[in-house]
Amino acid sequence: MKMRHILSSFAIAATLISGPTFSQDDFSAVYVMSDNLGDMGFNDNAAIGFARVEEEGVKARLLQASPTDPQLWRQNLEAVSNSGNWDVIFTGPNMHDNLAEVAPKNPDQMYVFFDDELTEPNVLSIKYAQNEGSYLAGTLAAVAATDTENFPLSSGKSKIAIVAGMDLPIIQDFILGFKQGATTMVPDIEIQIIFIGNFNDAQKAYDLTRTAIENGANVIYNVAGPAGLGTLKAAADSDKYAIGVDSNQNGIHPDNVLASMVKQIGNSIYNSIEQIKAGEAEFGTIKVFGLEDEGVALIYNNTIIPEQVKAKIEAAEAKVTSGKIEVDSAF
Amino acid sequence: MSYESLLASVLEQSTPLVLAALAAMITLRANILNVAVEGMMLVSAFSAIAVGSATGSALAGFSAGIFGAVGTSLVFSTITLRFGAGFIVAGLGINLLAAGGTLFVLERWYNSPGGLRPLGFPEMWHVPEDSLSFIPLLGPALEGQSIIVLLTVLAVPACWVFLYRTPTGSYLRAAGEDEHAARSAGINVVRMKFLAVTISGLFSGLAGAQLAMDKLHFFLPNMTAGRGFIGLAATLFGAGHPWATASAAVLFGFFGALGDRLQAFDIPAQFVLMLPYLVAILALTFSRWRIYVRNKPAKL
Repeated sequence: MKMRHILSSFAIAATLISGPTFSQDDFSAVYVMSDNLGDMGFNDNAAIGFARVEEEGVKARLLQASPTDPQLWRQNLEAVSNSGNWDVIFTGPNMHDNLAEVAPKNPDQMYVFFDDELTEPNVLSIKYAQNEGSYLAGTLAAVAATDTENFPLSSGKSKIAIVAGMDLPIIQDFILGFKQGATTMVPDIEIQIIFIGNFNDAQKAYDLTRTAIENGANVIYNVAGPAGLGTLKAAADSDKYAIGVDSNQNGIHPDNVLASMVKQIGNSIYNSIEQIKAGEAEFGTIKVFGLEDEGVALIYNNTIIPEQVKAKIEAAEAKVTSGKIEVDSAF
Repeated sequence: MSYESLLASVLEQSTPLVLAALAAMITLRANILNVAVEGMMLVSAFSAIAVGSATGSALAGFSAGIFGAVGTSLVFSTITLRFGAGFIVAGLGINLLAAGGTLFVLERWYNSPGGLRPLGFPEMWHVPEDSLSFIPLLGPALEGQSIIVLLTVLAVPACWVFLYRTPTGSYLRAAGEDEHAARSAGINVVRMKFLAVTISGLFSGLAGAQLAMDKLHFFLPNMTAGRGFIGLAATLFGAGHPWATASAAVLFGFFGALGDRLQAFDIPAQFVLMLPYLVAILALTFSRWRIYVRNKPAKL
């Protein structure tokens, strides 16, 4: 273990001493990761954002690290901070304590911290309005539960459910948005809110989802991270609908998953780099990316959602982006 | 909510718990507190999904699950019985190894640390619909259950027969109750403990296979979510007797299933989620109290 640390930090140090091979007036960004690529979700989505800015001439670099090796995350962060070769350093989940120590020591270095927040004058925190994305999921769920013509698996009863991981503020943010979206479409809709108690017990998620469906729920919103795969499977096994979360889960059960609510990490990275380059980014504050700036989105499963339904949801989306409707938030 | 569906749900939720409890029970009778059940279940769940999806055969997946868990139990028995490591320390080590090892393989081999979700997975044999409806109440609840549920129903009496009606079972119990006496009676104590750990691996394998293959058809890191430990609690509650242990596990399963249904009502989720653990604490308190009362010297 130790040897690997030393070797990897040497490797990084070597590239940093030699410096990036491009001219100094190019904008450069590096992402210090606490995970590897290949998760088909959060990290890969971030990589898309960096690929987009690279096409526009920004030098981007992703430093992957094993999720079980926290020391390496810290070493990587310190190495890139000390080098001073990067205009902006991105970092994300699990890095709060590391960044809180490193950022004040490098006051001239710009940092972007996404999916978390840290109040330092040289850190721009980026968060995602999951309540707005969930609002759309709620409108879709309400429509799908009551419109038996377009959604033949529904019973027509206005009953839907959320199977959530734990009762945390961020999860409540999902729930509040979902509730508001559903009740704007169908005011007397019945929404069951169910908690698993953790984020990895897929079997429990399966049982809870089946119970919700036995109680009459037509659409289940999965807010349970990995355990939510159990929710999607239960909805498919019981021939009802589900809405996915975090990554595009539409393909997992193409006949049952109506849509997926995703954080568009890549878009937020692209937009924030544009803003920093233009000198418009407000460091020291928290920037929330919502529906308006495509920080969150509902990705439809086009094979089972007809155009006229999509139009309804998009009308609801327009109300949120225009500011006519303010979505409830737990924060 | 119908009684059949509640009963079916109780059966389904109890099965991995009963199997985990039996796994812990058989070693407890050989005087080994087996905390490695959780890890063995996890290895089994992973091997079942990995082999099942690679071969497209449910039988191969099922066997791989069993072999995975038994293999892990062999590691456990080798380091404890052969090299003299403490059972608790080694058991915790096995759990860490199982959690880290499965994650490592996911990351390196499958390139997806989030879990292993094959697109198509072979179905295990399930009790066909309408085949048992002539039995009132229990029949409909058994329909649609996997073969492992049926095996579990048979495993409880099988354990009882093994422990109390076979010579090997008596040797195993003797080895657990008084090692020196057993040794002087010519019983190979180490071999008996080894046998107990291996049987424990077999039951853990069934539990893991049920969890991964019955309904979910995928593997997630730490998907066992503490079931091995709940099984251990059921064993301690049941004082190592097959029927009492299985009943304790079913009791925990019942409160789990009841909790799922209570969430539909307006009861705070935190309270409902607390139920199985509350029952476990009450049960363990009760079992200690029972031992205390039994061992109290009679009044002069």
